[in-house]
Amino acid sequence: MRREALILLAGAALAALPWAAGTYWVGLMTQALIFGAFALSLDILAGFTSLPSIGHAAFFGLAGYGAALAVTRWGIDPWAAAAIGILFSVLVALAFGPLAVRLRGLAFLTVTLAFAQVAWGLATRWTSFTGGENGIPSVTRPSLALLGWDLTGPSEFYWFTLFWVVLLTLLIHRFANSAVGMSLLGIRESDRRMAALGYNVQARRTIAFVLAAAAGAVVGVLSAYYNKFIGPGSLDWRLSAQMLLSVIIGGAGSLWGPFIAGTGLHVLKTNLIGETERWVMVLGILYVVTVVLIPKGLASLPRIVRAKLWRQQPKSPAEKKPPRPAAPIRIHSDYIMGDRSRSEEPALEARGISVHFGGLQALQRVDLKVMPGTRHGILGPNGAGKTTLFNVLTGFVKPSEGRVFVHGVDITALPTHKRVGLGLVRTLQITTLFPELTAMENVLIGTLVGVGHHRNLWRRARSDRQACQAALGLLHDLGLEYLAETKVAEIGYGEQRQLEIAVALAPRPRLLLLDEPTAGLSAAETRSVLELLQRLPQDLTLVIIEHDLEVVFEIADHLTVLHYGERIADGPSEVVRRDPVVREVYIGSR
Amino acid sequence: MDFRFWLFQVMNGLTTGALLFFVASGFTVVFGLMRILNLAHGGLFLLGGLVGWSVQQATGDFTLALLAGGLAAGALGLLLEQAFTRSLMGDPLNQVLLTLGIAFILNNGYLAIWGGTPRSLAPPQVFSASVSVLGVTYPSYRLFLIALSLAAGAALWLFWERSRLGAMIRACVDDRAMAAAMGIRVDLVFAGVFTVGAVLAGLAGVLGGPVVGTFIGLDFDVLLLAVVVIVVGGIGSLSGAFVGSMLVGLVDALAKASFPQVSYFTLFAPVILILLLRPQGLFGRESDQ
Repeated sequence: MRREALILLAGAALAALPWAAGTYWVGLMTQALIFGAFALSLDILAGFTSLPSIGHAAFFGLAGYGAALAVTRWGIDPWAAAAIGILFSVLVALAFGPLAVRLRGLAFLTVTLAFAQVAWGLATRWTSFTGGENGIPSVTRPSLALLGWDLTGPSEFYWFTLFWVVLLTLLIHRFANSAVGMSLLGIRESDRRMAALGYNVQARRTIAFVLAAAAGAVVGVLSAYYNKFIGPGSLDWRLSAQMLLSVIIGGAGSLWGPFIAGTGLHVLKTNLIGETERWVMVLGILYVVTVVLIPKGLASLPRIVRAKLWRQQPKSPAEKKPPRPAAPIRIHSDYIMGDRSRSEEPALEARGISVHFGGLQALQRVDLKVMPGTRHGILGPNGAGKTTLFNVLTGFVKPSEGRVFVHGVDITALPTHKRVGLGLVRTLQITTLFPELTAMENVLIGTLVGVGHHRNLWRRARSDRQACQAALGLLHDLGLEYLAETKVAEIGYGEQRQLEIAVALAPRPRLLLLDEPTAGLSAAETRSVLELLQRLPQDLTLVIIEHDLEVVFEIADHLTVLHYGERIADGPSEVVRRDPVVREVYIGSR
Repeated sequence: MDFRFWLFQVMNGLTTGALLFFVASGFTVVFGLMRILNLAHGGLFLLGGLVGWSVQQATGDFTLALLAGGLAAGALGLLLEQAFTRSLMGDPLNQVLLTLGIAFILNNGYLAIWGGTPRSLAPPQVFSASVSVLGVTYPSYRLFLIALSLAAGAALWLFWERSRLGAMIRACVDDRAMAAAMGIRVDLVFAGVFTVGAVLAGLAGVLGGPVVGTFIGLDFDVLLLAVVVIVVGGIGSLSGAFVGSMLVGLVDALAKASFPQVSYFTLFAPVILILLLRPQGLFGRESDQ
């Protein structure tokens, strides 16, 4: 709320410019605001989602061309033409985005560059339609005759632009704080984790791509109307690069930083072009200096300054540790679903799973049957294929052979996030909690899925009462409430492993797959995790990978033993413990 | 007539492809080896051309110009390599912006030194005439370029596949950490490959002088074509760079001759398709990314 008020306040202050400055500055600021919002739109993609595009200008330019062509060639009303231009860009983004977001890093960069070059090539070479290098002149601006407003004057068009830029900024701000916006931050850190929590990663990347394109299209049309002209310059990859630079200078993902940098960079560039032939070099030096000196951008400066001034010491987690409850409490939250079906049908079943990695046979026709409400341990020495089996069960790896069923439903072809919808959730072996978020926010990302609010584009995720209560409830039940407001980066490793379990419970699993929950923990920390696991509701089915025998024997009532990708034993815990083959594998290899 | 027209276009395409191969071979191997998309690579090409032009103006000798152009670009390349490996490896976004910044600095620096007038080099005396190929009169210098790129391609291929040093470079492309663990001085390999790539780009700048000329802005034009070659040929693949260069040269020439309106489209649309369907490039292997 505070941020939104700030945006409105800044907008109101900027509205006063025409009374304070001459026509030159009003015009310059109109274009600068457009570029500020343009950089902001790219921040959704490059900063928030970590998809650096060097072809974002394509959507800016295509919308401008669409509108300009509609006005000049077909004589359509500028308002309708604006809609046509924006729609055109969005449709192109809808067609290209889902494919492009499958790529990462430099490959994504290259494909967006190639895409923008295609658009630029058409604009420059298809002279008869687009006017080629000369572009399209005399684009008529829309009129606000109904309000008695004339948009031909510089001040009037400045206010018009300011209105749309403020509106766009508010909308983007709103989106960034919604459940979907928050999930983009999560995807930036770890797409595996987000998929394991039930998020459709590719769909969300596509949403970011299309929304960024749509916002870019809006300012592209504004730019065409402001200049009463559109040319190939608006599609040039160097314009995209300038916007990327703005995102970096401003601080990727901070939203306000890129906006200010995009505005400032245009003002600087325009003045330099007037002053010196060397402005390209100044720009180049600016690129180099930014990347080398402030790779996290202006947005990181306040934090650095604050840290220097106050020399804040992070509170050590030990100080905050509350007394542990003497006797373990049973969890009675009904938030954790568990499996109340009590049928004879297995909750989870794998039939004849084989996995090859090239020549390596990681799993050979492995069968697994997990009955509802059991604690099922999967044992095996390193390299036995335990994690690969988990990866098959949760959809990270497609098996070469075999099928997987949850409550009799064949899920072999389902992507990870859909399996979460069926109640199948896993923890990851190496903790991939989001370090910059608090414990509470980490759990919140999961409870948003649990309460079904994870597709919301509008409501502030951090004020989602239902999801927040669920997250706090979970932390409370697991005795981790005291960590709620602590950033994960400041939480000790042992507590992170417990938090990991809290996060995995957040999407409301019926079946929880735990991948070595005590790996790397001290004896005391292992004890805490074991206690926590024993406090979980009985009807929640647990499958647990371990190579610490004591841990498994204490928890599991049923065991499956893997060795070199083959199942060598399966049965009730006390039977498998005495199995001579198992003893040999374990004692012989240790 | 029609046949001659197309033959002429094909030879033009092969000439462009030949020049492009000199530029793209260094570009793609550096990318494969160091994971650096060096957007300043076009600047190395242009430096070669401009220095070559100055030397030819002063001495009138093409061979000297070629040597000077290659050396100048090589020296700048070594400097850039030291700067890149020292400042950042890893984050692709920052890396690309850094190399782009350097590309802008070079571009404007050249403008300050050589001015904005487009210039062109005279081909060496031996190749000043034209010859007739299947009834098409064609400059012998361009035929020389095509032959030279074939020879250079063969030499590079032999070095790459057969020499000990070539094997070490391939090992570094495949798995840098493993190669280092095996005792290969990865830092020296980086510096050497980057410098040789820069020399090749500089040579191409001089060699292209009589065909495309040298002018400010050519650096970015060449850079974009080299990006296309990388995508088509696959990252870090020398044979891919050769085939990719020839394909790009041919497609560009034939499209310009037949559909000038969409000529740029025909160059970049395949790039999008290849990246989406076969991200490792036509000649790259599965493991390349």
